[in-house]
Amino acid sequence: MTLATALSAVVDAENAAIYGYSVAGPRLDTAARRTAARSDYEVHRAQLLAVRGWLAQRSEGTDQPKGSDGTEGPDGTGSGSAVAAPPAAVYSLPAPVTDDATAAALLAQLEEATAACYADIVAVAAGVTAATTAPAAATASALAGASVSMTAPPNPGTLQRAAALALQSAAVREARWRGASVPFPGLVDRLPQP
Amino acid sequence: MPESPPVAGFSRREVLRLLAGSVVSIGALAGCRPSARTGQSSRSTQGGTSADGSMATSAVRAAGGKSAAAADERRDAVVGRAAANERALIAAYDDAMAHFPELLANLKPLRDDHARHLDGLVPGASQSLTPSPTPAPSSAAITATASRPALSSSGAPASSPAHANALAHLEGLEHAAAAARLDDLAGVPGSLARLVASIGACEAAHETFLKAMT
Repeated sequence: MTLATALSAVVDAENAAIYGYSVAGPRLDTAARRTAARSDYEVHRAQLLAVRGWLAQRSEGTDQPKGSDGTEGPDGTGSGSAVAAPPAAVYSLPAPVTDDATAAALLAQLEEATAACYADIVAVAAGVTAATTAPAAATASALAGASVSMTAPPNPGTLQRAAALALQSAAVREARWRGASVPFPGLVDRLPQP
Repeated sequence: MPESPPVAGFSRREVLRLLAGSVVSIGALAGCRPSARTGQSSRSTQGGTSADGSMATSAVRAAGGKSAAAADERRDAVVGRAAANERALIAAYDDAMAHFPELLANLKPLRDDHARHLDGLVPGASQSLTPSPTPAPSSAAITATASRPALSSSGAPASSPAHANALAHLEGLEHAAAAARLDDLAGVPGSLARLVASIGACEAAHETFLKAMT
């Protein structure tokens, strides 16, 4: 898997999550939970833009990390070969979403799926000219970006860190919707169940 | 290096399927799942290679020419730091549960996550831990909140200043652990980076749980 492939998978997962939140959100019981879902929905939309930006930047430079100029806009329409697919118009759900419990279950599944894709970025970025980043620069960039970075990370080191932050953020949401802690977010289907 | 437990297949639960036309499942969305490799021969970034050193070698080559020994050192240091952190967290949870048995049902599942982390880093390591107290109502509290208002403190014991302090202490430890895992990603093989990032993500979620309990 190339980094571009992994990034495309994140875009797909984010699109599915956005769709899923729009379906499940209204089925949640309380106003507080619907508000939380709305906020998560916005996070996914922002994250989609961010990842499209990363993807556009990557595909323009093939597998070469861009310098630290990172000035392209995040419009995701770069001329590179790996352009994310547009979202599907409609997705079918694995189980009917009829009430609070089924809605929350879907959201937890969607978060695990996005977490898995971010975990893949973390893994793949490690193999792509990793560690050319000064740790200090990576830290500063990630801190500035908090959990949702809207700027394209300039190199694999910061990309890896941004993906790990996105994984953390997905794990927090997953645990919230699941109502239970998950020992290995993003790896749930990779590990044997205890 | 000790990897996560053997990966039993990569099948993913199907979550969504595209209706019209082609079918899209989350399995496909996470098409990144199976042990793919980056294009180059030795740049394996996933898959469960362990201590054979080949991943370390390639990781270092990618990192710009340090020796394989340095990569091994880096990898061992990352695993060692993470494992030590897990042990410290487990001890802190055990301590909190010993002092506040009424928190046991809430804290035990989190403590057990850390034991799993430890085993993921160093297989079998949790067996040498002192067994933690067994909660009378099993691990009910947290799991029972499934499909309940998210992260509400319903079901949590009435909070007292002492509880709040204990929980805030654990929350701080989880926060620091998540940040430390983030700092340790660079320069290690992909499969280890993935594991470490996932552990950090779990700790970030724990932090949120603990916050909700106070």
